[in-house]
Amino acid sequence: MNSKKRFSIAMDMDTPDGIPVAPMVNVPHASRVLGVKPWEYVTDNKLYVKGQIMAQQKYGYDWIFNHQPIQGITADEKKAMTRDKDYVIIPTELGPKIKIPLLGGPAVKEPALKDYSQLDELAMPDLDKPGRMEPLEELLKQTGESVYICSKIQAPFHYAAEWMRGMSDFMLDMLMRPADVHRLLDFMADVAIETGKKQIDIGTHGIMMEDPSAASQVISPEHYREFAYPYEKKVCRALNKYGGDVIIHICGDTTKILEDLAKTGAKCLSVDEHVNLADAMERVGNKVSLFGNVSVGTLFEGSEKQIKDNVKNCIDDAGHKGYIVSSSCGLHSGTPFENIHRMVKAAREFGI
Amino acid sequence: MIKEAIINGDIDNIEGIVKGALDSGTAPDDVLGEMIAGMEIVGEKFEKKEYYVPETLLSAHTMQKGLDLLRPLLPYKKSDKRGLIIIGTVEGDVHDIGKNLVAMFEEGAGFEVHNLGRDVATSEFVAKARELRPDIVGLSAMMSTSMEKMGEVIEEFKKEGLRENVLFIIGGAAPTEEFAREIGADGYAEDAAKAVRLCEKLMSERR
Repeated sequence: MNSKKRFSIAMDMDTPDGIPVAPMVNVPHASRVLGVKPWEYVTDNKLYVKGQIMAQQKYGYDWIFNHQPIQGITADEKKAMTRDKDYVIIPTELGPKIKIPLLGGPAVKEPALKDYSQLDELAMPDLDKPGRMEPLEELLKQTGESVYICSKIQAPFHYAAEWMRGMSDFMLDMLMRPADVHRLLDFMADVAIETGKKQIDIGTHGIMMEDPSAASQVISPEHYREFAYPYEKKVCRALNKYGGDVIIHICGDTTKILEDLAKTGAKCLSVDEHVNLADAMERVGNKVSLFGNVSVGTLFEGSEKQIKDNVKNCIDDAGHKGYIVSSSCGLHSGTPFENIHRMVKAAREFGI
Repeated sequence: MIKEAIINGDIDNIEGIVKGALDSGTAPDDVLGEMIAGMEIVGEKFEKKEYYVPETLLSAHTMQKGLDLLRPLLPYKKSDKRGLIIIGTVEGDVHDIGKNLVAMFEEGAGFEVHNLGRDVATSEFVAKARELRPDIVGLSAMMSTSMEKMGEVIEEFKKEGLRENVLFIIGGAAPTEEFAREIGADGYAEDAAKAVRLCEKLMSERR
């Protein structure tokens, strides 16, 4: 059974020949595998594709996480980006400026909306711009037959909070101008849906929708249900209808909102290490498959035995059906290569 | 009344409430005391997960608005302040909610706070420390990738001969108590309410 098949069966809540393993190899890690600076990796579609394929082949895990938040970089963006010694700043199509530092992944340097009147001027990003979908096309062409290609979209709540408005202002907006917040979220849901549909058209096997700003350390379950859940659901349902499978990832402790997440229409939930997999499987395992949650801290600085034990515990808790071994979140930048080898090896050993 | 307005984040009415209290003869110091008492409750609610970030931020902003009215009436000399703090998120990290909450809580507790913002270069921490002579320097990092910068800031203060004069506190999602010890910081706090208590403790030990 090849990786793509193995991953798909687990996504479908069934039991493949072995549990798939799929660490969240992100900008800091993949660029190190490739031996280039993070900003070189992010701003060159060919290097980006090369880095992801190189990492998959090096470790032999079952998926490729096509993880760029704005997809591939376009010629316009390359022209408009400013470069310092250690970082670059890229103005993105909807307005937010992102910074790619020497260490670490992209972060929003400047959100787009100073006030909500600007919302009326926002137009849907042009997903047909040359370069935008180049990484996905290339990944599919080069490894799409045998490896599961999962492409990222940003959840409406996270895109609105972190990218468009800035977290502090957005948090206050939720309490002080909820109607405007919902208007913005509606637009961001359309962006997510159009992006996901485009990825499905091109042939992505799955979609990973990340909503870290909706973590239960940040907002209450009540606010999650009012501002995050309805839009996650809207996006999942639209993409399901279009034939797409969605994994939702939220960082932190999602224990209190697991049942909601399972009702969004997502096929699979990616949970952080704060969530108990046995408990999650019992509560929502009949509705969704689960993905997670080997501690990124242990992968960063744990011993060989700690990593092995962590993978084994995850499998003991989750079982073999409808489960994919992954890291609890994106890998820390200094995570030793050897530790990802150890994670994959343990998953192969205990996942049979 | 003032205390409740802070707890409930009554940002639209806080100015009127503070003015009313002052007009009816309440001393500015007592108004401030009420606001601090309110923020203490907010801190407790945040720790108990009755409040999350939006509610806590709204209370902190409400207090800021009240403080703006009060400040000219509180003729503190610097020596009356509980201490001077400079605080910022280290370079490469643009997260600032937690750090802003700490800054507002500390200010509410009577510290003089200079918030340097986010993505603050090491050289800027040094320059500001020379200029303002702070008692405490607060460093924040949300991402494990930027955590390493915290140690770099402390090393740079050593090189520049500034380390002995300041206390370093660190916080944010990434660092831990153990990490604080490793890089030679003087203290670590998990959240804004604990950061206030940490600063109070450090300052009293110093005297």
